[in-house]
Amino acid sequence: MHVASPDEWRNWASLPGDVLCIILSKLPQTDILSGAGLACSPWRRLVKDVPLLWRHIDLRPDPWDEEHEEYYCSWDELPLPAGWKAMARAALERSAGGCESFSGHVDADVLVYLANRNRQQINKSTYPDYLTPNIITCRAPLLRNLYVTGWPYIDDGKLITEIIKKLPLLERLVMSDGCFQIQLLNALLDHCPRLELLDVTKCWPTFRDWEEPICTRIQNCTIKDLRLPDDVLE
Amino acid sequence: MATREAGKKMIMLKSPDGMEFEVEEAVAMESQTIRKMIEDDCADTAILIPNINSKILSRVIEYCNKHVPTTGATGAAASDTVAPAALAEDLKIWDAEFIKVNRATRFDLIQAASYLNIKGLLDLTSQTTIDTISDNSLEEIRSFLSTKNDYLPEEEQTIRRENQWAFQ
Repeated sequence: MHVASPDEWRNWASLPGDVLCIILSKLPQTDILSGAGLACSPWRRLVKDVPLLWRHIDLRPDPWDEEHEEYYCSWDELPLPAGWKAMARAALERSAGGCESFSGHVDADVLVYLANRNRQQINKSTYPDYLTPNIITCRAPLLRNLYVTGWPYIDDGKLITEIIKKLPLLERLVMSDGCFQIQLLNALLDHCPRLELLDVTKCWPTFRDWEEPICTRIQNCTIKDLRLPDDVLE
Repeated sequence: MATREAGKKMIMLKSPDGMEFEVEEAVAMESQTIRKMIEDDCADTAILIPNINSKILSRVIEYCNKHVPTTGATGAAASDTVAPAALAEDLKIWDAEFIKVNRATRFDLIQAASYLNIKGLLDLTSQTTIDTISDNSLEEIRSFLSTKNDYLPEEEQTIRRENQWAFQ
């Protein structure tokens, strides 16, 4: 890229906020976080202060990106970008409680971060009445879609319940790779009445056969589209 | 155009540098801003478009001319014979050619599209800008935007600390 000559010079930092939003919303969020969003103070302020830009968080690496030397057929096989965890936290923080979908890698820290935030930061008037005070202390109480890799094995079953309890609007959960525990399934059935898609076909289940009472629960559940790993079905 | 087609209402657009452009009302109404003026009867036969010079305004009109739906008396016959998919493809090729302009012109087109509220043109110009800056390093983006690094040294420190992933 060459440097602009004076009569070609325009003050890009001065574009009105709504126009900047349109431009930046077309950019992958990983690019906003590590490039354009830091270019100058007006752009940086905008990406920090406009939660709308973070309503649908998608931090999945791009399989077509030229920087990968090998060919990857899907995003969940790609190496994690440097600082992925800090970026996930920054994106969730910037969504200011308005995040409706999250796609990317997670670990226990990111899940706990997603499900909790400081009470001081919460403006109750922005949430519908049916979200109880307990739920709006979640960083993403409006979350409907969760597409994740790397779901960890969590020792503490209560922790799983604590995380899932905070996501009452969850409609779609797709886990490619990661660990699928019975406690997770139970928590989803207990606390996510709107769940219509659960796809865990690419996960490692921590159980082999259906045991009662989970077997009966699964047969009577309201999840329309339930995709379980092959081992479990056998 | 040598003669005006019968039944088509024309409207005059004036740029601040004194140029006048006579366009069909339907073409001018591709701009939601102008549409609102016409619908609210705020527009006489001539509308002054502030802040948009004749060079840029003529390009904007060129864009609107191409993108106005061809449902007019004479347009219908022509477009009926062309499949919508082919028409969309043709528009895409035309757009790609149209947007081959230097950065300054693109910037002016973004501002014009924003002021005149022409969604298609704003989408086209901003997408092209994004295609240029995505996948570039922070320094390259700053150089493209011709913005100086306007942070104070302390601020720069904070940014580096808060956004470590961008500086690795």
